[in-house]
Amino acid sequence: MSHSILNLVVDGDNVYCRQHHLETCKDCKYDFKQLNILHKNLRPINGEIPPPNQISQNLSKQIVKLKDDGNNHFKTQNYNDAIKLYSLAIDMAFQRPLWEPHELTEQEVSICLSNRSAAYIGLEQWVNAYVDAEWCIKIKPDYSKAYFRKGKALMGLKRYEEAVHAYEIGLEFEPNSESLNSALVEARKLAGNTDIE
Amino acid sequence: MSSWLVTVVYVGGMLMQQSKQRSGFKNKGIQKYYNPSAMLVPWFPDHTTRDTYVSLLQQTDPPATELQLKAALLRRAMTNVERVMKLRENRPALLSLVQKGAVGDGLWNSFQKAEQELQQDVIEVTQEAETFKKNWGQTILYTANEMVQHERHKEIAEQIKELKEKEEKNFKKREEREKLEMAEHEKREKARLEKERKKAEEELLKMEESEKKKGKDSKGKSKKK
Repeated sequence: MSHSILNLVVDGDNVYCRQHHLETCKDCKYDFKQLNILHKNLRPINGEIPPPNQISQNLSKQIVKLKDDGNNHFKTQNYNDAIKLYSLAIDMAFQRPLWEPHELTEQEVSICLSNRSAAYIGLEQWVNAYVDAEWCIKIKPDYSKAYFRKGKALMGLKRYEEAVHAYEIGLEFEPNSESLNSALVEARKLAGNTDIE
Repeated sequence: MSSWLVTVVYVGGMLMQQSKQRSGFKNKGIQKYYNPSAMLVPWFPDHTTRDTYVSLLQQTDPPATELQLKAALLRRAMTNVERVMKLRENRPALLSLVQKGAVGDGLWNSFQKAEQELQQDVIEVTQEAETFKKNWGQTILYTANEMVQHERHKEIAEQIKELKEKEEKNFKKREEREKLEMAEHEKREKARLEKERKKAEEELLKMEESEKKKGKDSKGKSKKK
């Protein structure tokens, strides 16, 4: 296990390859981009990473506030404003410091994404609704509601068989969900029709 | 029945021979004739983040700041976390392949060497962390793990961006196709109606003509009479 010494240079805040003064250098096969980004992220706290159980309470509060405001708009079917607020909440949740628990980000982001998907469904913007549901699933694969939204969006897109599949996976996580079960029945009917064609 | 038996015997024999070869390799000490570690293909590519940290430590003109070194050590710890996860993921499958004799000892040795090196580097990272701040060694790997997971979110966001573009394109295409089909359908419908209209017209004309003929005939007849 031998270390090889890289021909690099420190210039101010960044590290570059010495030969070409590049952050990402194909010739030297160096890439210091991630390092420089992390350095920038550590600057505000001067590299003093707080202990693991310490989290930004303020951030969580702000996110919950934005989400709740979004929900109020959603309830009055003011979907456009609801989407705006959910989007702000999502952006904020992704700004959680890198060293804080990732589960927290996942929780916050997945709820807001799922809600935003529902708002898009309300506007019949099926592609947006589908993409948000898919995003939510990628971040939190055990969140059954996201599969319900995905199925709804796919129904809107007339992709019935894929909708059936989405509902089926959702039911794996929440077998007794009434909404998922009845949606599955409906989707199966339509999927059956496309088979016959 | 007999073909089934032949298959079993054949496969069984093949497996036995393979395991014999494997154990034969070990027992007869053929390994003496070549240096196994020289032939080992490394399980992982170069540990670049480790090399970067070590290189930064040696910088003098200008030297790296403490913050830069901390960032570099964290990146190194992140690589280790990723590698630990990969090894943990690969281990059971590889072990069962080795036991079946489906892969050679070389691969297994390379895997074990990677495990040892990784363990070594994890220890080094925690020791290095202690030189910056007391007790940092206890939490640096935890922090690195969180960072790896947060980085995964960024990757997902990139994938979603691509997905969105693709889905929007497909949706547009489908809409256009549906529009075209609709127009085509309308055109056909129009043509069909036009055809029917013409046909009806012709029939009407025929009917009229035959009516006239009949009329003439009957007139002529009556005249003749």
